[in-house]
Amino acid sequence: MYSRMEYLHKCFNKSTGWNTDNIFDNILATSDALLDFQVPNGGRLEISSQATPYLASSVTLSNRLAVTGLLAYLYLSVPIKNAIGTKDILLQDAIAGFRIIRPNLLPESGSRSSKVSPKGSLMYGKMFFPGSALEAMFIRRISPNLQLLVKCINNAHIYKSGTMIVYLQENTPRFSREYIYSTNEALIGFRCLYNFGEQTGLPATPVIPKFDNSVVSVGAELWYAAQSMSPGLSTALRYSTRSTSTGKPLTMTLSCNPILGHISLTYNVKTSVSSTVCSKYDFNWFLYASNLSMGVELYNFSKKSPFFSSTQNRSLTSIHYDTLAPTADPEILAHSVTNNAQSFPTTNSTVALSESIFLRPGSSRISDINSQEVVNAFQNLVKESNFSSVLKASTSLNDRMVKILWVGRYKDFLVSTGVKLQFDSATAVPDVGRFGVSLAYGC
Amino acid sequence: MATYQLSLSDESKERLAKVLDYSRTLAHYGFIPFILYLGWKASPTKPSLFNLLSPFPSA
Repeated sequence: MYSRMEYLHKCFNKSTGWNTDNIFDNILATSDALLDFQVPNGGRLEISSQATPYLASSVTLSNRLAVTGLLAYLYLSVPIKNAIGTKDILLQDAIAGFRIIRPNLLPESGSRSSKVSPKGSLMYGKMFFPGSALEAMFIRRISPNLQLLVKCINNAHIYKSGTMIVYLQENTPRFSREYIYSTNEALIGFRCLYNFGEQTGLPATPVIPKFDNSVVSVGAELWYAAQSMSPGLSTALRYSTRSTSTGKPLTMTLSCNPILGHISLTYNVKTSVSSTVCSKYDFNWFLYASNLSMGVELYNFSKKSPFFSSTQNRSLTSIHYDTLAPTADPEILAHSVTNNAQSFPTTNSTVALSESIFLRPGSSRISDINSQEVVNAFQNLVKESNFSSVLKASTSLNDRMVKILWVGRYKDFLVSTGVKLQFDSATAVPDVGRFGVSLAYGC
Repeated sequence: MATYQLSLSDESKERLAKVLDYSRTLAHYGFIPFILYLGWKASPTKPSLFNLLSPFPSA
């Protein structure tokens, strides 16, 4: 579950038209969200509010071994209108999950409702108690495609009392570049990512039959620690596509670190509107060691109305899919709205659309448009569906562990609870590694 | 070829270290009040200090 400040940061990215899926750091975002999610440890309570549209504050109390707290304040130079409280927030926006990749889509054509303000700045400060350690972040959007990001930690108890890292990021629909400098060991880094695929969002000739909207992203990162004179290198490839018959997206990644001899393959597929499956295979050719990890995410539909009942407009608020989604067809949306929630509204419209592809004779252009409609319909249904809870589970064969996380609602709070079980390799006795409950309220 | 080297006395070095230490403390404790000031300045309604500081939603 995102903290309130992470959520507001994502809202800021959306309202300023910054596509984070285009950043090399997020190339494995889907598999990380499904396999490496954090299970709360101990009790945690987070309460946050927005005093003004430009300022948000949050207080968090945790009681693991000792009671600790943190106080966070965030300033935005552009008013955040798309941020909503925990009462009305979509669960798919409150937690990290499957990401539909559309890096090539220009913000102007992608966002159908909200006006994108391409410049702005964000300042964020978080102070931990006891100890008064400070975590600070500053973002300055220099131009629509260029931003400066500075992060620092100041704590008397860590090496050299803290560290600072500076990123200069250039993000265009076709490529992204990052220049990084960290005061820790005078680390210098360069990251880049290049997207192959259609530029406009219009259907192109599919690479694989029955799959469309394909995007291939290739990226690499180079590091050099000037003090210890140690280099670092890793490369990654991401292939993201969607089935033309069902509209279901899938993402495959291949990442490789030749210095450490590590290769990792992931396969993530959204099997239905409410479920996602992920598998990951790691192999190290220096150690001849391998690991297979699997993860699943299951959403539970809410018994309430599937579409936004209050005055809020969800198309304005969704942080994951709106900027990335192609312009929605109002007819498809209207069709899906009329369906009943309890009988899984999505299937009728999707099946009807998919049937129309095969039944209606016509040119390839018509079938292209139909397949695009199917893809859009599925994406809109994922975006608009109202879920009451989500269950995440992941396991890793080599690490001998199982993680289970449940996120749901209790009154106006978002509740997250989970457990991490580790099995002893000799006796196979399970041991509780992490267990906790987290409550969050924000308005 | 002339080489340029900045030579500082021990006293100056000590003073410089003290100034850097103070500025670091100032940045550490002044960062969050600075964020609050920016938020207050940007807002046309100019909320009270209590509303700014309080992370709890006002009734």
